[in-house]
Amino acid sequence: MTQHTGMACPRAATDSVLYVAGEMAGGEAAAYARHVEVCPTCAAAVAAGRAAEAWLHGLPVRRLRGETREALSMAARAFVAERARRASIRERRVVWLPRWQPALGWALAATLLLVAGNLFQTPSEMAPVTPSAALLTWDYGATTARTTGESGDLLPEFSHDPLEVALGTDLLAVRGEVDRLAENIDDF
Amino acid sequence: MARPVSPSDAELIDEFLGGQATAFDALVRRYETALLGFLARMTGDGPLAEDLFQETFLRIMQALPDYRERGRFRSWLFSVARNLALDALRRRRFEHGIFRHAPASPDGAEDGDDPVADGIAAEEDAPDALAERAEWAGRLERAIAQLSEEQREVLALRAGAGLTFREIAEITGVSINTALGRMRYATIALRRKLAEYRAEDMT
Repeated sequence: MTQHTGMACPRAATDSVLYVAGEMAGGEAAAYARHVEVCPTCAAAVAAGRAAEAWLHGLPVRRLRGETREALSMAARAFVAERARRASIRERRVVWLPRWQPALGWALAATLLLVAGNLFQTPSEMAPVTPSAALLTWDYGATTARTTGESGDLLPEFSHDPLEVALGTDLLAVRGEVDRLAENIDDF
Repeated sequence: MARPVSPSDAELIDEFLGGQATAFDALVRRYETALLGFLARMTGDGPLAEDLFQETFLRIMQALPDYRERGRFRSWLFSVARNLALDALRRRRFEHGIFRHAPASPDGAEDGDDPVADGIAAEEDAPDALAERAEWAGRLERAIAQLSEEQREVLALRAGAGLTFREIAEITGVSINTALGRMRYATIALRRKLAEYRAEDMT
């Protein structure tokens, strides 16, 4: 145990306060109590701390004014009411949705079927992907389907340059070619 | 020292958020003396302390739905109150240019300026002992008001609110040793100030 007879004891500044406040752990508090017995600095600090605690506890207890308490109470009630109102709006939204859910479900299923039907068409049913072939499909209907779908080897004879087709410069030439092919097929 | 209370703060908060407004009233009652005591000692102004008390609880109420650390409600409450008090004190210093409660005369505040003394003096047939106590309390309140802001804050959190030094350190954002040191120096300053008042009485 350290004995301090001089003015300064490093424990006076912090330990004395903790000790007086009763916030020191049991064993530590007992050790400090023994230290206080032999350290005048800490003894004075503890006495001063106890006196200050006594004064401060003697101060009158403050109470809220009735108006303040009432204002807070009213604010709390308003807050609860507002939360309940918001909750009921959310609930109504949730209730409304299930009523429409079957119809929404059927509509969604139908849309999915349509999309899937387009996606999973067999290659023979599908229109050619080249722009020129698309043009043929548009212009010549059934004849073109036969030409492009069943005799895919004929396709390379057409211009496959998308730019050319898009610009329309090759349009008449393409149409002439197609007419000629159609006649050949008929002859065949 | 904090003791477990029933229902706990967290339970009251849950009840309030569940739609029971009276749970909030219970929270206000639970912290009424501690928080009001802290704010009054911190600001040295009864009416301002009451306004700040109300503001603190209104802010707390608005923030409760998003508040997750339910076990630390007390620290949170006092942190909010402390920040509001510091803002109010800064605003007042800015508005008045000086700290209003630093008394110009050795006797401190003018008549009617001290809410504690006023409250007790209002009892017309107060016996002498009560009057003496009121005078003593008034001096002590004035002495507290003259402490530095840091010392006053720690003293108010400890004596006014009964918080532990660990909580005080957390709320004020300093180490526990700093909080303890501030309390010690606040005590020394208070003793000195009260001794001065006593010496003035003698002369």
